[in-house]
Amino acid sequence: MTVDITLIVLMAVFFAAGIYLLLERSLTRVLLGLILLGNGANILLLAMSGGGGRSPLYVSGIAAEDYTDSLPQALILTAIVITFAVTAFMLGIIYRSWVLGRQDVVQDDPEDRRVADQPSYDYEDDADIAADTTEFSDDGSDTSDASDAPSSGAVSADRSGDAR
Amino acid sequence: MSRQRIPLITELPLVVWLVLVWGALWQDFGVGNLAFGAILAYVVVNFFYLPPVELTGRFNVLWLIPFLGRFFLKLVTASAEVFWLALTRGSRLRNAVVAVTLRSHSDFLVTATGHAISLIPGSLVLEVDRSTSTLYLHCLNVASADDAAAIRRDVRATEAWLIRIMGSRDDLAALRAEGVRR
Amino acid sequence: MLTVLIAMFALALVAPVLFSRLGRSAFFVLAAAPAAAFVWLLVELPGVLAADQAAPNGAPGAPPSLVIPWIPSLQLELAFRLDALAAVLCILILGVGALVLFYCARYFKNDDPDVGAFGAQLLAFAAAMFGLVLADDLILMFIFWELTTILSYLLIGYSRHRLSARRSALQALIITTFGGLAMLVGLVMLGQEAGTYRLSEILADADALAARGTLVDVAIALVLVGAVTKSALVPFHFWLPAAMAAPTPVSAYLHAAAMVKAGVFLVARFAPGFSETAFWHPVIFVLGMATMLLGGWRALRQFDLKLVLAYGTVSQLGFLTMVVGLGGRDGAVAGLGLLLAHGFFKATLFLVVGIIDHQAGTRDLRVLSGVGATSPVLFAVALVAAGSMGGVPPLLGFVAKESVFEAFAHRAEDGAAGTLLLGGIVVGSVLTFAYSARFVWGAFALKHGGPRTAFPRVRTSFLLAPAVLAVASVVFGVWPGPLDALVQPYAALFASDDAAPHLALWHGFGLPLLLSGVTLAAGGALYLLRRPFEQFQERLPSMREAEVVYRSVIGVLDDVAVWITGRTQRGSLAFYLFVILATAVVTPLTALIIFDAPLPTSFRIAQSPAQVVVVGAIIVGIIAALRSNKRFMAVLMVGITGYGMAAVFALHGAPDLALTQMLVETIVLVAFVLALRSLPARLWNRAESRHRLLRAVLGIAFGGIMAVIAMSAMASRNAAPISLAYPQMAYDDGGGANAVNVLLVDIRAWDTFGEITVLALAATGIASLIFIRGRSDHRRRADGVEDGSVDRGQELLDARGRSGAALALAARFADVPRDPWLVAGRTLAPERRSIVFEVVTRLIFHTMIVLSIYLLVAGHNLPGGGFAGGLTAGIALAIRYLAGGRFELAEASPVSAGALLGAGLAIVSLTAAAPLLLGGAVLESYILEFWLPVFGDVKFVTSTIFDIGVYIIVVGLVLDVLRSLGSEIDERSEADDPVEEDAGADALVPPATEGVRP
Repeated sequence: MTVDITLIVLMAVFFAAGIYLLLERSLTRVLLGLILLGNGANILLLAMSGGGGRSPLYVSGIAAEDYTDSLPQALILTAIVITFAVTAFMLGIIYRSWVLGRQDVVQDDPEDRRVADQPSYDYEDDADIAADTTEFSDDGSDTSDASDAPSSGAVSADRSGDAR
Repeated sequence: MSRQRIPLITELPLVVWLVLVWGALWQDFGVGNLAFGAILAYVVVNFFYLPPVELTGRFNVLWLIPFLGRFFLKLVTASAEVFWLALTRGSRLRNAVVAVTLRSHSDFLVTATGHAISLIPGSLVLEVDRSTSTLYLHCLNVASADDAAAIRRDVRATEAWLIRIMGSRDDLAALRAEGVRR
Repeated sequence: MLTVLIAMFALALVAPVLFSRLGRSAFFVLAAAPAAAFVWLLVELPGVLAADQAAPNGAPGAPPSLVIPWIPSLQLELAFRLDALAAVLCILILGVGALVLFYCARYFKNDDPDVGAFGAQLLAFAAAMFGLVLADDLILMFIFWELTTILSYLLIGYSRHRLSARRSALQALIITTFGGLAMLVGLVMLGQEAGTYRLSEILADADALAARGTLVDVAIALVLVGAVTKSALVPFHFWLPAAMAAPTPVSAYLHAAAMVKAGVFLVARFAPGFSETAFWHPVIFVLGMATMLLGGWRALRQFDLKLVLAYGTVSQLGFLTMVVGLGGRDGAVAGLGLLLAHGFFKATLFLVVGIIDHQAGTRDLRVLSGVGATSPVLFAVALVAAGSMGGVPPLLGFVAKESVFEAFAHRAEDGAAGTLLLGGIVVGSVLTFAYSARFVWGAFALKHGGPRTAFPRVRTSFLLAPAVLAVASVVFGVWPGPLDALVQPYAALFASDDAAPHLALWHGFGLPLLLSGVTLAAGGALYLLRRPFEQFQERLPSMREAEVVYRSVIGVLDDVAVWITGRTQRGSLAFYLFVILATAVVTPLTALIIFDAPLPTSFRIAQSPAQVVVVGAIIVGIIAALRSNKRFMAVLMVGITGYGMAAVFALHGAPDLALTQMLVETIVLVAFVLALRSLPARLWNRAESRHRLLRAVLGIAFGGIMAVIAMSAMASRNAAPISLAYPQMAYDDGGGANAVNVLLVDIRAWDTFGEITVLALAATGIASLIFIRGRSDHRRRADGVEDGSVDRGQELLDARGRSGAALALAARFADVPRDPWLVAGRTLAPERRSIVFEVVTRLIFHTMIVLSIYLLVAGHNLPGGGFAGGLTAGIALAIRYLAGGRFELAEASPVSAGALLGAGLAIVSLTAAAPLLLGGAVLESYILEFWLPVFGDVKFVTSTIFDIGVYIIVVGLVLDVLRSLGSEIDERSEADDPVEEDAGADALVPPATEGVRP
């Protein structure tokens, strides 16, 4: 296949600009980056379909190779319309984000950041609990671990871990 | 204003226009196609209600063709002129907002004049004063009152052409009277 | 077999309902299931024992079996086989299971929490164990194995509110799952080597397999790891004492009779064929001996009765594993005998502990006192069981131990290793006797210097289960014949010249009897010397506990996980994207280089000079968009790139695309303006310069790699495109000359179907983002609205200054009572109206609608189509909204957006489904040709209806966008306080906002 340099360059510029904008903080820029990426993808499909020729409106007598490839065109059309829908949706998000927070930025997730600050000590795994020697304690429910006190009515093994 | 049933007579020009458009799109003015177009036009006009337009009832094709010729000539010359100005003078150009009072008080004519002026490079309609039929134009390369007067003459001339083509009889009479007075 | 299994699972499913009806008596119902299965087993038993154990399934004389194919491609089948070994285990599983469930009826109270779930889980566990021993397929066995792991987790963690229960349940889960996974690897390796996953066939083929070498050795070793973790051998033994946090019935069943026996069962299963593989004996004997001694030693230090038994179980399991793994007929007989004996006595002892705990409220043997005198029957039962554990004649434990001594004595003749083993076993048995005695003393003896423990009378139904098991220990001890008959067929599987020994009470005078005597004597001495022995134990330095090691391993794992997660999960979208995109650049590049991707050979600059010009303009637009600081400027530049794309499409011979792109770009611009009018005018650059550089580098790299990939893909094409035939096909079969349109609505109609569904969803999404409280699809007619009331901006009119004066002027300009051009134009405040716009809108609106219908109808043969038509109609509506405000829009669209979307989807779905009724395929289209009086020959293709649906949906989408981003935002901003944005509200927002009010 003959490669059209212009189209390839255009696609590369679209992708480069789209990625650059996509990594931005401002949601508007992110949206513009998305649109550019979509355009770039469309140009990619167009370039891959080969050189241009007659438009795919059937006229009897024309050889099949003379028409432009019609299948990528159908795919691109679908992509254009869906990109429009996604753009409109993101505009709604930008508006809502503005109304709620008076800002349209992509925010960091504080929960994710908090994961790194987790301490090594985990109560569930590391807390020392007294051994209990009965399943039936007197105070209604069995020994709860809100308090580490041993259950009433039984003497806990006061030896340390050696006891086991 | 509630939706009124528009009488067919008032609707007819619009329907006819739509049928012509339909035929032109298909490039087929055969009876079958136009019949289908007629049905379609009727449904569309009645489904989407818009207030009836009072057209003047006049349309003079004899004046239209020279007007179009004049229009295209001005288009070409103005494009060249603006191009030349942008290259040579650039930001040193002096521009101005010119107010032009039109003769006709018809919204339709005011709009048509405004469009005809805006389409030619070099001037743009900024504001329309509906009460006095005044157009406020932003024009390039207006340095003195003479330039402004020239622009006003040009705009009123365009308006005169349009009145001759499709203005109301009153406007046409006023125009003729004015011409006699000169 | 399958029916019994399914019946037990089914009853387990239904159990919670039974509990809510019957309370704790539902346990009786649950106990009936394994009891019935036990009866079934007894009926099958003669056939099983008489069968030839080594015969493959289906052969005459083979044990009862059942094979149902499940996933043939994975060689996975539901294969069950009831042979002698399975029958022995089933006696424990079903018999002890029934008794434990019966016991639970008196152990729990009616109002104990989650009793229903507990009962269900216990019964399901019994069923899972039953399935495990019956399974003849390796993977099926693994499935049941893991099922028991999960159920044991649930059962151990029964008292969820206690930390010890939660912790020990999790610990057991992790350890047994770890072993299970290792076992899975081993099983798969074994299955692949053997070429079949049928266990009976593998065992029949075992000699050939074992000779294959290292792979099979490693596989067997991995399988042993599974057995080791399940049966709590050193170093994985610590989960068993911790699991004593479970209710006592669970300990009695799982940790005495069922779950831990699974590991022993596995060893017994593989022993006939694989006991001579390289890793077998070292693993079994070293770990088994260590476990036996360690367990016994620790048992003597415990004060909790249950822990004494737990460590005792650990010790006994080590013992059992050694015997069963010994190989040879004597080992087989002794092993199975010991298995049964252990099951009987250990379950009894645990049940007794449960009774003591239930009645006295404590298990601490320093506190319990005088229980033996208070409850003599209980004492007798426990004494029998403990005696069996210690190996006291004439109980079953003694019989089994005799056989064990005999087997090991036989081995001791062969060499030093055997003697060492025998010695170790004797020491272990001594310890066993000692802690058995400790148990009896601790639970029942009258201890001086303390009060007698209050001990209410034990009900008979409560005592029944341990009593039955104790009786069994006695009866079969005195009369071991039936048990012997049970174990002999399994022993016959071992290839050996000697005849298999028999389980008998009296073997004659010999080494075994001597060893038994030595054991009893030394054990008794150890018991009598318990106090000095305790002090001796105290003085010894304590070893590092396995549990501590386990906890530190888990701790390290947690720390590593937190570290990795903290590094990679930074919460910043830009970071994630960066990593993803960098990978997307590097990986294909590497692949292209390594695989020597082809590159194209023929290049050309462009197809025509016009293309170069257009592309240049687009690139200028892109760069301007990147550098622009103003919001709308950037949007406009991107819009220019869109229009440029339309030009590129047109030059490339794609008229449909050019048309659609232009229309879409226009509507997108309108949508942008409507949505962003409330936001500040300037876009702020807050990124640091090094980040910007990184982003630029990544962007350029990505663009470059995409270019290379595209070129490489183009050079790799070596087949003709499939769409060469499409134009002809579209005309002949699809009835349309426009191949692209026919593709969309006919050839690839499913894609379009999905696409318009996405459109409908997006429209709904936009509406929900903006409207919050319902679509408010009702139209507010313009009748009720005052003239000039919409969008008044009155406050600015009152203000001084230039903007106020300008607005006043504009109001004066427009405030003219003349004929209206639009329906609701009058509702707008005069200063917002533009007469030029209104006139033009009035004039072209209907024409645009007709144009859109033309595009819809003509699309099949000429450029156009449902999308283009719908977009044109949408633009017409947009013009009316922009000229006349939101009431104009409401008047312009008689149908609500939601109704349009729904109607469109309905039409499309009908088009898809209707051909089915006519006998065709889904979405099949028909060409109808007929003649009408005025119109002449008419050719109608039914896919046009699909296109109409598309049209309606697109109109609905645009209408929804206009209503949400247009009308609704209008309403909201009028309702808000029209105060200029305050810089203090948010430091991120730039202070200068002017003229952004609509």
